[in-house]
Amino acid sequence: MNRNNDEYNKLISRIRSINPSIPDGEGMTNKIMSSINSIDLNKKGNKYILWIRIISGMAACLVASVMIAGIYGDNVRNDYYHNMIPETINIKTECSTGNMLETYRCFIRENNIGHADNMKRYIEHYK
Amino acid sequence: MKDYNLIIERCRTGDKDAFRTIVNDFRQVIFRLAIRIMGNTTEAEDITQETFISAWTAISSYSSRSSLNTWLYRIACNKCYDRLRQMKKETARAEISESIEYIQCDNNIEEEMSNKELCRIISEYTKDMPPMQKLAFTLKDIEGLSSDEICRITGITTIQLKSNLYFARKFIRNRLLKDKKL
Repeated sequence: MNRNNDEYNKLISRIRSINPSIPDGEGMTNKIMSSINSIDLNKKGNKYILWIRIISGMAACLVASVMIAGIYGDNVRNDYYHNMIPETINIKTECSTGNMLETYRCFIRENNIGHADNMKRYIEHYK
Repeated sequence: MKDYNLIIERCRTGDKDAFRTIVNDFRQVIFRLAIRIMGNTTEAEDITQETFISAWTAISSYSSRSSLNTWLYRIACNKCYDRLRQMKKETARAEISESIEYIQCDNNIEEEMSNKELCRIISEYTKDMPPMQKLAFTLKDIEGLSSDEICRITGITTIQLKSNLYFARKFIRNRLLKDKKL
C-alpha cells in the first residue's frame, strides 16, 4: 500500500512539475476580444424585447387554444344534434330497416333540415 | 498588486480594455486548469476562450465576496464538467479531437512537448474517470486548493467532495497497479 502511495505521489508531483502554456497567448486574447466585441453589455432593451416576446407568445397560445376549443365545441355540438336521439321521445312507428339511428340520419340528409326542428319533423314524418 | 474590483467596475461600464487586462492575467491559469482536467490542448484552448466570453456576459453578476480567481475557476470548471459529460456521450467525437492533437504544429517545440506530455499522462490515468471525480482530483491533488474553495467552485458538499476524491484516488491507484503488472 505504501509503495502504491509512493507511486501516486510521484505521479502527482510529475503532473505538477509540468507547466503547460498556451501555444499562442496573444492570439487567444485577440480571439476572445473579437468575440466579446459582438456582445453589448449595455443592451437594456434586450430585457424589454424578451418580455414582449414572452407576452406575445402567451397571447398567441391563448388565441390558438380558443380557436381549437371553438372548433372542437362545434364538432361536439354537431355530433350531438346529428347523432343523438333523446330517449324521452316515443316513436310509435318503427322504420323499415329497424335501425332508428340510421333512418334518422337519412331523413335529415334527404330533407336537408337544420338542427332545431329535426326531431319534431322526424316524429311527424313517422307518425 | 492590481485592484481587480476596480477593473471589474470598469468592465461593467463596457470597458473592453479593462477586460483585456483580466484575460491577459488569468488566461494562463485557466488554460492550465483546463488542460489538467481535459487532457487535451485543443479542448483546453476552447474552454479557456468560452470561460472568458461567459465571464464577460456575466460580469454584472460577479460579487466581490469571492475572489476573481475563484469565480473564473467556477466558470471554467462548469465548462469542463459539461464538456466531459458531453464527451462521455460522444466517445467517437472525442477520438477525433484526440487525433487533432498530433496534427497541431507549433513553433515552440519545448512548450508543445510539455503540453503533449501532460496530455498523455492525464489521458493515461484519468481517462474514463467520472467527470466529478476528475474535477475533485484535479482541484484538490493537482491544483492544491482547499476543500472549502473546491466546494464553492463545484457547488458540491464536503462529504460529496470526500467521496469523489476517494474514488478518484482509488481509480488512479488501480491504474498504477495495472501499469506495474504490465
